[in-house]
Amino acid sequence: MITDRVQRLKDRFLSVRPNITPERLLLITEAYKRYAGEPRYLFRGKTLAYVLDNLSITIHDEELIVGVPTYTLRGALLFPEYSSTDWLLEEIPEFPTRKLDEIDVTEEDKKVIMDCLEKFWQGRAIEDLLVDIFPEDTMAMYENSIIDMGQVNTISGEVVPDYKELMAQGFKGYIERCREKIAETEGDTFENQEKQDFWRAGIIVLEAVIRFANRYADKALELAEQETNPGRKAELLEIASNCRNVPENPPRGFYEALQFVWFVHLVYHIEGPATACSFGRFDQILYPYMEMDMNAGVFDEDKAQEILECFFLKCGEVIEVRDKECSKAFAGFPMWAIVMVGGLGLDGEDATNKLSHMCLTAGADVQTAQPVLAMRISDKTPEDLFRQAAEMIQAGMAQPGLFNDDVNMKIVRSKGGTDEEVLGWNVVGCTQPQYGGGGADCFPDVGYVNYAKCLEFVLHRGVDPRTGMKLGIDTGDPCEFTCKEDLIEACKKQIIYIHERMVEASRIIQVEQARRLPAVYTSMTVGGCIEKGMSVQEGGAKHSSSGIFGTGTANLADSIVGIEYAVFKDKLVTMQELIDILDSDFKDNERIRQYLINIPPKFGNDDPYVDSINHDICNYVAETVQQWKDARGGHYDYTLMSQSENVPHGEETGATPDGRHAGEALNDNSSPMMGRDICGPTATVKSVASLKPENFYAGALFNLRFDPKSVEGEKGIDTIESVVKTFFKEGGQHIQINVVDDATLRAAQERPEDYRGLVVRVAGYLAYFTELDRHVQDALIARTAHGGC
Amino acid sequence: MRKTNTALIGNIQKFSTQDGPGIRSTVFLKGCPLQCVWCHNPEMIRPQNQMILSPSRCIKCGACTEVCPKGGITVGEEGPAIDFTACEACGACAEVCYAKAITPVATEMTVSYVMETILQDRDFYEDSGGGVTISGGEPLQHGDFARELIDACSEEGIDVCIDTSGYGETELLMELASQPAVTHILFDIKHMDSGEHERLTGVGNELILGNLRALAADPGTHDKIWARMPLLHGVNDGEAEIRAIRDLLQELGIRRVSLLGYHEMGIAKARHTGAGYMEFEAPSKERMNEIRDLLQEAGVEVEA
Repeated sequence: MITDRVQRLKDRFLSVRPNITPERLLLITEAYKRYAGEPRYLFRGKTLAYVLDNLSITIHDEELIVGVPTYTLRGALLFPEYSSTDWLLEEIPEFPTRKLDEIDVTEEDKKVIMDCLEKFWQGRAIEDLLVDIFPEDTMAMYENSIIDMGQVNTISGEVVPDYKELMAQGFKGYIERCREKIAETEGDTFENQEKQDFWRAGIIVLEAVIRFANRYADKALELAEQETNPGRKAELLEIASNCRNVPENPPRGFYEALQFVWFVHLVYHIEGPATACSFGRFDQILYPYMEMDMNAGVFDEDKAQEILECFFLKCGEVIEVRDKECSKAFAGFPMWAIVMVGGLGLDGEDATNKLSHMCLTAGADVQTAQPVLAMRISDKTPEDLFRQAAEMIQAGMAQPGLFNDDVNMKIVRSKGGTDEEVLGWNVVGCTQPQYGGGGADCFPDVGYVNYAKCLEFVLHRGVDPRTGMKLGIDTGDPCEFTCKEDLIEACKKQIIYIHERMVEASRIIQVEQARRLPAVYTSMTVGGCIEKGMSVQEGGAKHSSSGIFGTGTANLADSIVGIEYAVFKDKLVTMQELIDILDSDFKDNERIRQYLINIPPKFGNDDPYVDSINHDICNYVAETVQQWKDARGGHYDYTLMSQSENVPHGEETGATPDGRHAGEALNDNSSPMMGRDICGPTATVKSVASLKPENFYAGALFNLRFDPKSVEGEKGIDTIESVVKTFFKEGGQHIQINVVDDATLRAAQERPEDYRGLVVRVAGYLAYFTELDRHVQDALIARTAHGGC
Repeated sequence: MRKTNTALIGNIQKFSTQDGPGIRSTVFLKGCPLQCVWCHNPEMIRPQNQMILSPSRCIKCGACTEVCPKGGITVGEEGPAIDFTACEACGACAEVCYAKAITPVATEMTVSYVMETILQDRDFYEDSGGGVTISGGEPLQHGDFARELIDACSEEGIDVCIDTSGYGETELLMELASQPAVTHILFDIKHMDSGEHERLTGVGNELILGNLRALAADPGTHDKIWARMPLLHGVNDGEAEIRAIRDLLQELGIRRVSLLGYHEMGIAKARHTGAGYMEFEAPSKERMNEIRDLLQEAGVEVEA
């Protein structure tokens, strides 16, 4: 049960729109002037310390966990050293009114921000500098949206810090380690001097974070003095005591441990525009501190639950400012702050504990977009935990995301993880399995390659029909192709070519991020960096990797089979005729389009023929790209993932031979194309599992939709669990389940073609939603809106 | 061994969660001796195949009008219209209708073919305690096919439910119901008054109730009975009727019943196959609850 306080904090949170303040912008500008000329690590360390020492300290009413990026609630910071003024100056005035992810800014602040950006930052962000050093062909591809370049204006590190070690030692322990490293290293070579700088800068930032926490302690004391309510006064005194102790020292109990974790996490988002900093195995990392309270006889479960929920609400308070295009690809201010629960412990036995359950309860209570709940599921997962998750899914929360312990452990093992790293695996980003133990850094987003576009290149000999520019490679005259194998071969070549171009660009980004913007603070928290004396950007972490994404994979497989049927098998059209039809977006050829939609089999229906083509292409790409090395020697993690990038990628892609119109969205993540999986969820999950996500270092993100009737009541819980277990048994890596809501049904009324597979489930009855009479559909929508179809 | 019996199959609907325990695949067999006025699968009544329209899918290309040997199809603003009195379901129109605005209601399949589809979801049945449900239409109209399908499921260790109106040869029903693979007989009780029953479904209820009694009398099949009551406001939800059904369930010791409130989702299909239809209302939520309570008081496990 949610407490009144948490309810009020939640209401307050939801009543405020994300906004920006000039605070960090002005501070970093001053810091740049003040420390210009320092060597890079010290420059970075000192500028961050300056920001932390001067950021305003705000404790909002009733908060139990404290620490905010700026003085407004849900206020975001600006990072002019990363983001180009080109778009900031153009887009900031539109922030409050843009279509997606609106961000408020007051007129007064806007003036200050624009003024500062114009005067000091034009052309000086890493995003600006990179543009000058990209190869010409890569740049052309970038400008024409063939490739996107991830991390061009964000910090590179997608990390799960080593929270266990951080809390065991406290920041003071880390400072001591840096001092020892300095003492044992001679500063007589360039390399050693660099390392010395790194550790010195590390000490500077860790000490600055301790001062930052202490300023919160001071503020809490100041508020306590003025506070007339004795209850709140006591809380503020406790907050002061917490912030005096952590993160400098190890936490003395659960409450302090949460405050510790929050400070660590918050500062990532002050150092740089961090995304996807995961909390890792939250229940495992924090449970020992709960036990500490239990052993001391001071554990109060209700209180602990409330503090935990305050912590969860905090997670939504860090927001990253993204440009228009990025907001389309990543709608809804996602930050990928993962809270992972459940799964096997380091002894190979199930490690579920009280906190695992409490985290799910907290997620169900606050229901905010951050943190993102994830749950590991093994054969040993206790029924009550699985059930608690299934109940949340049944209620339509679409959380937690569920992960297959077995397959994810296989993946981490094949990436070279030790036993401990395998058993301790966790998730970073959306769904990417990562080494356990907090010693890994992932450059998350090398970029998304659009496979449907690759087919378009194949059909036009490397030319983009939108612009007439030759941006792909010529894989031969498609009219000479005689079978689907010819097509598949050409597509593979094309896809690898585009991946190569994108990887080249990302290597440049990695090199320049390391040279210009090493993230000293982030690096301090990741295992390996202090030992090696280098930042995560340079390969300081024990393990480095970079994420590579494929999108539109189902469209490609469906299209190949579409061509095979229409051109080679049924000879309905010649290849040239088909290409012309596609170029005209099926103008006056609706009948051919209907053929392509309805006659050839489609991915997602447990049809091995088409599923195996998708499998073949994705596995070929995975095997190829996973052998490449990134700029710091890390490997590439391949995954089928689009986020909402399938929408802009669709906009850039002409009509495809699966019957998709030009400009329409591509398939979502590893899921089948919308409306083309018409055999129900069991067939869909088997198709997705047949792709063998265990061969992809970063797995395959899968969203599944259920109609509410099928997961209703007691039986519904069993049904959800059965589908998940069977999906995992078949080799699935991740699944997120949405229960169809009234909004989806309305969308199905408007765009029936995208929702052909939506079945209405009633006893002994057989029908698809889109085939029903309008007023019957309306009635179903009304019932669904009231919970239950 | 190849299972060569064939039947007209409307669909093999995977992930059926409302037709027996667990996750199931429901096999819809075409042909039913009853003509319930509220039938929600009206396209499954006739034993012969027929065409069904999905007018919203029509792209008005007119290909169907050209190939119909009877010249019985026109395409207007509302999509295709078939002269159903002349249609012999040759399927020529569906062949050329890429948009699937005209499709045959059913496809002729062998048991082996049906099994291939059923087996695809075997893992789901195993984990959820599900299996296959033979529905229709009326499975008892397809004795040989149903027998062979049950055998095939039995060989594969797959659980079977039979969803029946109860109208069919007693001997056949008892034979199928006695198979160890068959775990549940979903048995409809539509009206206790035979005259009313005939008015509503086209047949009296003597054979049906006799079959129900036969199932109940045999210890090998008694516990497999899972009664289902389609409920229509003002038709069969009156107090006397419900009490009569309750008494019967009590007398026969039937402990499980599902209440199926009327829904309008069959109407479009009736219209799209050229059949007539009547509109009804479901009993109110309160009435459904009263019925549930009444039956529960009698010791029957009720699922709404």
